[in-house]
Amino acid sequence: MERMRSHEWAILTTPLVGFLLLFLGFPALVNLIYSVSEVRFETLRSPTLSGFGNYWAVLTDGVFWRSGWFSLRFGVITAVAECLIGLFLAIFLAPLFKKRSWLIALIMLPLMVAPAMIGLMYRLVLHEFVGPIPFYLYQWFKLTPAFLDVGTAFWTLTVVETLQWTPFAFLLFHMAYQAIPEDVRDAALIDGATPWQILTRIELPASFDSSMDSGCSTTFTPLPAAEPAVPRCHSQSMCMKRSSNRGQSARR
Amino acid sequence: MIVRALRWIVLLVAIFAMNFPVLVTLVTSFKSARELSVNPGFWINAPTLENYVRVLQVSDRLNIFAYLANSFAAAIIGTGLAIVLAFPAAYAVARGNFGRRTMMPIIINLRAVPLIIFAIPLYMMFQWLNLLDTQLGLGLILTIVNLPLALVILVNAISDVPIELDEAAKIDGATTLQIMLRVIRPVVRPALVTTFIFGFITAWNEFLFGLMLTTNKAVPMTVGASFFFSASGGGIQWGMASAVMIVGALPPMLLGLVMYRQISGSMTTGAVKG
Repeated sequence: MERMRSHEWAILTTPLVGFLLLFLGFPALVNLIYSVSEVRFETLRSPTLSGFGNYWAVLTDGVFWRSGWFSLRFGVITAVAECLIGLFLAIFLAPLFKKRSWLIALIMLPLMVAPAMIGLMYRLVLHEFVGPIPFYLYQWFKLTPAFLDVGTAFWTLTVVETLQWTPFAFLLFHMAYQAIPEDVRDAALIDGATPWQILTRIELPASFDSSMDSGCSTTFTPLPAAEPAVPRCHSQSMCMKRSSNRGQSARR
Repeated sequence: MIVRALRWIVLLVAIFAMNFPVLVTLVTSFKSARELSVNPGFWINAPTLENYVRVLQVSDRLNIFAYLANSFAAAIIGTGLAIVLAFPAAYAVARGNFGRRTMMPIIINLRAVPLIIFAIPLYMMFQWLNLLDTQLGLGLILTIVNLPLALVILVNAISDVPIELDEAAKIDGATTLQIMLRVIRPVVRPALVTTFIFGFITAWNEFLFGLMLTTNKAVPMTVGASFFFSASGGGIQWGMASAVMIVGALPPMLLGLVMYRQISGSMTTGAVKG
């Protein structure tokens, strides 16, 4: 009987597994074959096996390590910034959201816009002739910073990405914070705990799981909003994209 | 009192900072090219709808209605199919613990994988299947994008339904398929709606595969918007570009504003509880 049940479960999961095997399994297999083959755009359908030379070429390529370092640094800094700001907003603004939950919708708004679109919007915001930020910086302080220059691109990207994805971290912390029962805080107050102790001993540990999740999610999100904003950035995903544009992925 | 005022200030600053690019784009969309060249600030001296009129005009090269229709069709396919595939699998995971140890982690971790690594083989595969530049092809890719979250939300929702409901239906002679469709599905309808809303927004906002797999007939809004940047040649027409960005961002923003409770709930279900 149990065996029959297991058969039923297998049937129910078959469409999903079959779909993924077709649309991801096959491309993954092709990628694996290409990675150990000599293949060019003209020979995409008939690659010649060539061993692990492609892996060696990538691992000894300075561009790969530079872009990897860029992505790692970028991911860690933005994830930490988003988590810290999101956590602060969730806790500090919690009393406002208790009575007016619709305010959350206004913070969530950037999450609804396509990251690519947000990136293009930032190109407008930071544009030296039509962007309001350079305009007001010059009007008020006579400053003319080049936000999209090679030297400043990293920090521009970091700020753009942080502003785009902090609402996501905020939401996770907000939900985790709301889920802490009031009784726990009341009991701590009766025991003489200070607000600081309640924050550090109850609220932050209770939100730990969500903070980990938020950190991981944002770290592994590969520069979705920031890339269109600053075309000269050198992240790992951009590196891959450019390689495939040049047909280098096919060769490697 | 001071703390309360400070809270409001922090909130307003946060809302302003996070929505800053959208606000700037909105303001710019109401400025003429002439005004924009002398006044890039927040104030509009002579508001105009000229940019929207130009954006909504259909030409041989640019057709915003076609881009909107493509995005809508692909998002519906990408979300609907994800639900159709994920719901039975979620039922098997929640009730039979089938695939909880292997299938679930693999599918959920797809979220952490940059799908661009599959770009070249997918392009070739779509070429063989004649799916390039079709709404169906784009919808199939969006299904992959939506599957992890759909599965997590639905597994959690079904797990929350008491098993006694299944048992009672089984005693009455219902088959597994009947239990799933006639007993469980109505109970988890809110989770299905949440999955649909979130999936639709995610699918609408997808850019990379739209850029890669479409050229003319099935171009989605996110990609079509970028065509307007070079529409007139000789530099970007920022007013028109802003208008098209606002039109493109409007559907998911409105959906998000109306359904924010469900969306925030789904994030909690998918991320915190999951």
